[in-house]
Amino acid sequence: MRSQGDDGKVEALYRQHAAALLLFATAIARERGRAQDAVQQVFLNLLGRGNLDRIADVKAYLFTSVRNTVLNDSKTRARSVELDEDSAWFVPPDRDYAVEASLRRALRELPGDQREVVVLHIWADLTFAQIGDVLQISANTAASRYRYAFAKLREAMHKKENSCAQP
Amino acid sequence: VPNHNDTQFKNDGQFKEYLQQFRPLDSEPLRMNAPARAVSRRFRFGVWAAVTACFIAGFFLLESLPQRFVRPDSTIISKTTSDATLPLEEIPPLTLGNANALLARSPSAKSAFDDIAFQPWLVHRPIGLQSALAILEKEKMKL
Repeated sequence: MRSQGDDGKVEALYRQHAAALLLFATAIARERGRAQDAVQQVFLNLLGRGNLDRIADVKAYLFTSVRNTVLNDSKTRARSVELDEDSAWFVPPDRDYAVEASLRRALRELPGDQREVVVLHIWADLTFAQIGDVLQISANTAASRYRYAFAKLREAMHKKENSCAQP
Repeated sequence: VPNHNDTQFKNDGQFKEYLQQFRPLDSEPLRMNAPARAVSRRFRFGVWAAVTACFIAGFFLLESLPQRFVRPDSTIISKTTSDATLPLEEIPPLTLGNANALLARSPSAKSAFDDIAFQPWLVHRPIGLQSALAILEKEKMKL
């Protein structure tokens, strides 16, 4: 049975993790509407489920659930995924949306498995062990993917900075 | 905190800090009313299960009805008839075999047909009631 206490816990979890979950879902689905639906779906399932105390690592559980929901949704939809090029993923520092767009582009250019790891580690603040649980890979594999992704991201952002600096 | 104008990040830590300055966009507010749909889905399933169970129970009940009611019909009639009438069980069905046996037994074809024809003593009438035929016989018909 669902109680007021469970509702309160779920709402607190939503406030705490929804933004990172949405970013993670967007990184997989590459479409903000689908990502938003997936996050909502996961929390609604959580409300229906009731007892949260049985979940060992709620944070890892949430990210795993969002990933599964997006992937299941992708299977049921047509293969062609519309790229949501224009909508922002981040609120950038100093409201520099040009840099936000370049970061988004750099993230999109990463392979999907590396993009997932980098989003989970940097913006969701998950450990490599937790990432391993979410993606069903070892912590070492997660760390390795992160290193590759991070280097590519750094290179892409560095190129962008240099191209902006040139006249 | 590193700035994005610093084109060269000294180390990975600084670059990670820089990336973390990009804050993921907030999600829409949680739609709390949707679980009602889940509840109603469960309720709908319960209703369908109950209806299905009723149909199955009704089916079995109807299946068992004929066996329960065929017998009492004849017993009820036999209880309400006078001792002079024959019980229904003793009236042989009118089959070709019975008709042939009746013809062989009877002295003539006419008497055999008379035996087959409607015989008033076989009608099981409750005591105190009259048949419609008997009442009509008493009426003076005006043409």
